[in-house]
Amino acid sequence: MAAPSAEAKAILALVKKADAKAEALVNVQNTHRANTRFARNEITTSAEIDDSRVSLTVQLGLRSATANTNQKSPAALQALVERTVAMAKLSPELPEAMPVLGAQKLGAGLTLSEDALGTLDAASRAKGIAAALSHSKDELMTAGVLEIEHGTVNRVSSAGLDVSVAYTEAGFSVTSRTKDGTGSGWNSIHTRRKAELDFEKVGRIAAEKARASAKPKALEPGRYTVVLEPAAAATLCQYVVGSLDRRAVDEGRSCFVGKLGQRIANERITFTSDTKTNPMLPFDGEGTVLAPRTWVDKGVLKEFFVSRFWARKQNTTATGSYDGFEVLPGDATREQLLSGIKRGVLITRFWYSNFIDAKTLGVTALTRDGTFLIEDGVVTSPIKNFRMNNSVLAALEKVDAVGNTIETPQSAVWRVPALRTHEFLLASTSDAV
Amino acid sequence: MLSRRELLFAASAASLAPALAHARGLVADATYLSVVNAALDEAKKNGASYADVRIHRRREEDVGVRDDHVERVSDSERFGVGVRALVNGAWGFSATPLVDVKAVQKASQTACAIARANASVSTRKVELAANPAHVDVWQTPLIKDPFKIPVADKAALLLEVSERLRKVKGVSFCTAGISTRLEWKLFASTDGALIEQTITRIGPDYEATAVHASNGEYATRGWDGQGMQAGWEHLEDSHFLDDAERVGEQAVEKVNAAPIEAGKRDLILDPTNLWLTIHESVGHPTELDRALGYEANFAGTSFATPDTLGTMYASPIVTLYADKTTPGGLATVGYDDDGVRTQKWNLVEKGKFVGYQTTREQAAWINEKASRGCSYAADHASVPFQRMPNVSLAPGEKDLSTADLIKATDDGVYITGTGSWSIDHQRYNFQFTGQMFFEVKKGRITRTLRDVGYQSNSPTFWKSCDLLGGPSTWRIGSAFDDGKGEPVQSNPVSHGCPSARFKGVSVINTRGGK
Repeated sequence: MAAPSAEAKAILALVKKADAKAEALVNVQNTHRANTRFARNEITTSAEIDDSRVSLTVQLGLRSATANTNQKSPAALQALVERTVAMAKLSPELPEAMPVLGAQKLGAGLTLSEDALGTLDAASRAKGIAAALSHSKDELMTAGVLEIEHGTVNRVSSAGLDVSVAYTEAGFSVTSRTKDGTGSGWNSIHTRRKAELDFEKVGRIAAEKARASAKPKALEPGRYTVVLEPAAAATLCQYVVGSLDRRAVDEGRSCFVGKLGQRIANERITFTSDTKTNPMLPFDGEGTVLAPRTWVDKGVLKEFFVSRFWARKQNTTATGSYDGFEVLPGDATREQLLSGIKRGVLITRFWYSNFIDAKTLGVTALTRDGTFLIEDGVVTSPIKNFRMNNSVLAALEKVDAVGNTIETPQSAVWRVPALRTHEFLLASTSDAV
Repeated sequence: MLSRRELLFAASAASLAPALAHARGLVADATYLSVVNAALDEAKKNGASYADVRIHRRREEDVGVRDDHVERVSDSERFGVGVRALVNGAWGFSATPLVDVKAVQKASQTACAIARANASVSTRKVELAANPAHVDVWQTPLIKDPFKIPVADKAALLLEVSERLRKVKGVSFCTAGISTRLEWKLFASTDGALIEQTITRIGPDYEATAVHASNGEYATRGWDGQGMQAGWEHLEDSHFLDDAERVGEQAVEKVNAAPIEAGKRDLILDPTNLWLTIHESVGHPTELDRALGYEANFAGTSFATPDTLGTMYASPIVTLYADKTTPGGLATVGYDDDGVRTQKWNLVEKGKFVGYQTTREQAAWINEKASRGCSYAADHASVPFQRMPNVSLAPGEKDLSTADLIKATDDGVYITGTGSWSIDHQRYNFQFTGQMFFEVKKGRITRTLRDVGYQSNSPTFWKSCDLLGGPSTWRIGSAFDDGKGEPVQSNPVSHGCPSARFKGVSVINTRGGK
């Protein structure tokens, strides 16, 4: 897909025609999305959607307004411009509105788009799903989804910003359940490359976990050593990066008040964002080019996100807004993660996580789709699911082994290894399978 | 009412508007009629045994303030057409933002091609329950269109709330916002349905944060008011401004409150808290697609499987009902996105599990002849599927007040507002917090508590309900963005309930973790 720079610039011209003093930021995203859902071992629905999103911010001094539409006819774009200019004129002054960004220089990054993946048709999607379902046979009921998005993003401003990128992302996830309702297994991958989209492997792992997790026994709630597979680790780590806002820290309402430069996690933990290794978009919603960052370096908190407004207010540098992260891998094989655990729990993934205490980064969630007892360094039997209530920071402080492979179970740009931690509170059991 | 077939018989597509206007007293845009007819004709030409088409417009306006200034003013619109086709017993769907004959013909062709590809690998054939072909119009009853209230007026109101909050000593920060949402859709099907609906929703909110001067503790108190399907008059009639001072004071009270000691307590749940517990522990478990495994990969399944119909779900004083006609409810509409007229029915009757939420495709799965009208698609580009109607708890027969419930309680906690929530993927184990927590001893509120959560198992919890507030305590609580499906779709939904008491529930200290 070609970047729609000409479309965005035409909207800028309309803004200037409507009000020569107006400054403007235009974001245009064009997408083709396809998905196929399946359940009870059969395809249930499938869709293909062409879509667009045009977002226009108009600034008249401190007066500012933003309007969005998915309509791109000349009349619709003219109406968008007129509506946004009118809203900006009627808007009260917004002290936090920042001037639109000027020219930005994009470095050489990874290729984020692949036509071969972005154009998979319904028959090809069905064939891939059939490969995954081949592992279900008679004793499993399997459900899942394949979602593919192929698109372009372009941001231009009246101050000279003009950045664009083409991208593709596929997500494929599978849940297999034993027909007696006592076992459930899951696996997932997100990727920008067709060659990495291994339908058969995802289906096989989900099926193996379902069979292995059948007829679980209850384990007493309590504090355990746990091995968090990458999907489970990703859920916890997302709470850390979601709390890295410098403004909240400066205002005294963050778990990271007074923690910059301090140890917040075990030295084995490093969080980065780097477009050279992570296939994330190279710029944010305002067009800020995203420089490489190390948020947490060997357990030490190194940086916060700083918005452009807060950077101006605090006389510091803005970072831009990131949505791609990597927890750097360690050197532990799966066997090494398990070894030495006298009695612990292997957790495939968490479900329905939510804050319970922002001050300590306290989080609740439930295990699902493969929870197993570890005894003497070996996975021995399936166990019932748990609700966990833990401080994420306390859990990361107690990490003593990090997996040597990265996985992308939730997003192509959230790259996480498995983690082992201790004294993890599994607060109550859940009857859910 | 005229059926659409009768209309088609009487007039060509381009001249349908007058006949339609005759049928319902309004005039539709003839262009849209030609678009929906072209989509359906093309689907039939491409082998569809059934097809439907939705032209769907969504508009959202958002105004927000932070402390002493306006932080955001935005307006968003999505418009387009979605075509769903059934070919050889399998579904296909395609959508486009281009609302013209050529674009929808292509969308119909794509939907049919997808359906054909899926049919070739499917053994199960989709069968739709019979449904009358309605030709009708429906809209939110409202007095003042909230989109016509100037942004500047909305901002001024929010700044006034903010000022009242910040006047309270100890309040450090506050935010306030008004979200206004519109859905307009024109639905037509090869069965002959033609339905136009306009739905307006408004969601005001605010919160205050107090930061303790010396110990680094902070607490946030959100307003208990709710979003509603209504006009601007909902906001005028609420206590939006009047409540601000109390909300600010309670933020300060909360930061200085005593932490709770974990243990079993009787809970008195205010409607501002209980609605969300109903949503998670009754609304989702009684979705038929979940119960049968169709949402197993993401939202999960349900403990309330069809073989448990007729068993006790709750104590005998509890009746929980689904109702897509509740005045003001966010999920209230005239017709669902299958074209089924909406209705009210019991899910749990005097404690017994008696019903599910269904669509036309699902009715036969539990041997029912008709759909309950629960199909919904978030926008034109979304595949319609089963979504939650307003699910509510009937009030007690005796008109007990919340004060009566407190007076009748020896050792308990009274909880208002919603905080954190979490429930497992089969809807057994749940954990909720709230906004304000009050210790109840010997029939009196004795002090404010903090760090309170309650944890239970859905059937156990509902069987512990021993006292209901009366009709005068019944209130609606609302969620604008309930997520379900893959790709995830957002569904607006409300839950009405009285105050209610639950015996011997496990209460945790959220900071202690147990």
